[in-house]
Amino acid sequence: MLCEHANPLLIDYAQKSLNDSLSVEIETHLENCADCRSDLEAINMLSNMADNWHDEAVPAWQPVPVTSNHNWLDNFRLWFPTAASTAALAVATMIFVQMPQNSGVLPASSQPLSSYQELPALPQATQAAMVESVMEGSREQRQEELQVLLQYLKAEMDRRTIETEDSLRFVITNQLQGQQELDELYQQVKDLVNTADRSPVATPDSSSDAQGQGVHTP
Amino acid sequence: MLGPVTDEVLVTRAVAGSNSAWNKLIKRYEKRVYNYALRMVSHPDDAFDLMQEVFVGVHRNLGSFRGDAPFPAWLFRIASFRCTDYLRRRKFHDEFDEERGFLNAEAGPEEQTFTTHANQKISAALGTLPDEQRQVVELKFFQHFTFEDIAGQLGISPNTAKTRLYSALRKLKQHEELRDAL
Repeated sequence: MLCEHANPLLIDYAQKSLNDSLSVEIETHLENCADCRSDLEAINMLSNMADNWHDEAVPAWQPVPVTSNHNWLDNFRLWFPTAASTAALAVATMIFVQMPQNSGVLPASSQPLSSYQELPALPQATQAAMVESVMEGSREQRQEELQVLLQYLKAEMDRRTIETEDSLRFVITNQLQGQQELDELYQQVKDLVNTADRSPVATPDSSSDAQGQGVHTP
Repeated sequence: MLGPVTDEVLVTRAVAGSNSAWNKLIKRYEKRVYNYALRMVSHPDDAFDLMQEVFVGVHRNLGSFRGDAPFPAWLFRIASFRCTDYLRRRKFHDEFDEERGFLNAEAGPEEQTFTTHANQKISAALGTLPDEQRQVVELKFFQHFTFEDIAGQLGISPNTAKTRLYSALRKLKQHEELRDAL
């Protein structure tokens, strides 16, 4: 037996889980193979090591319970809403079942539902007329609704146009007023300048300044 | 004469809402799962957290247990999954702390976390293995599952499980801790 065959079986050999013929083959191989003998020695050492382990004590702990432990009060609180709903539903069902058919809750009918199946079929023309009538009614209703919608949209557009015009008017008025004020101011300044040109008044400071600068003033 | 109630019966009763059955199931396996976690994460607090995570996972999935495989194989499928996830998260946090220098250099790994010297040595020896090899060693030598079971629990092929085990063996052969543990 070659190493590649014998080596993977050494653990089984050490644990005595091989049949007799394989065990003999392994033993024969081991006599001639130092590597496999060394591996077997390590396997036996590991087995002994595992046997020498002394289990350590587990610290005290509280496992998660699989279900909650409720006392009777908790159970009562847990189940009361469901039980009350179920009881109310049962009482309502009993009252409904025992109620007379023509009590006014449901429309009284002397005919069983199956009797409607025996009614004669309407002619095709009549059916078409009924469908057309329904369609016509629906069309008229839609047209009325569209009219209302159009009126609303038109009124809304008018309102917004007026608001926009008012805003523009306000802006233009402000601009015109501003322009007018500017014109008036310009005119005042111009008048002042003209007046100053026609009748200059020499102040003592200005005359001295002018003389100091060598400028002749009339 | 009545024997002990089987795991399957306890699961059925627990699924139906029996707390008593659920607690019996936990009592039956908590020590096994806790010690498995202890060997995998090497710290009692982490092992305790991991054990609780495993039983939370069992609690959530109890309704899906069909009894196709024995209950311990099903339980350790959840345990392996949780353990892999736990180790991944811890590795991420360790790397994060290491990058930012948050690790306490004075806190050594040799804390008194085991009641026996042998357990301490075994944990140290297993601690030298990469996580995926340690899981296979744990499931094979401590839990005694077949390679097919281990493959199912870890989501790998039986051959991969075998390869990981032999890689672990060769690594442990050279480790003095293993010899000291015996």
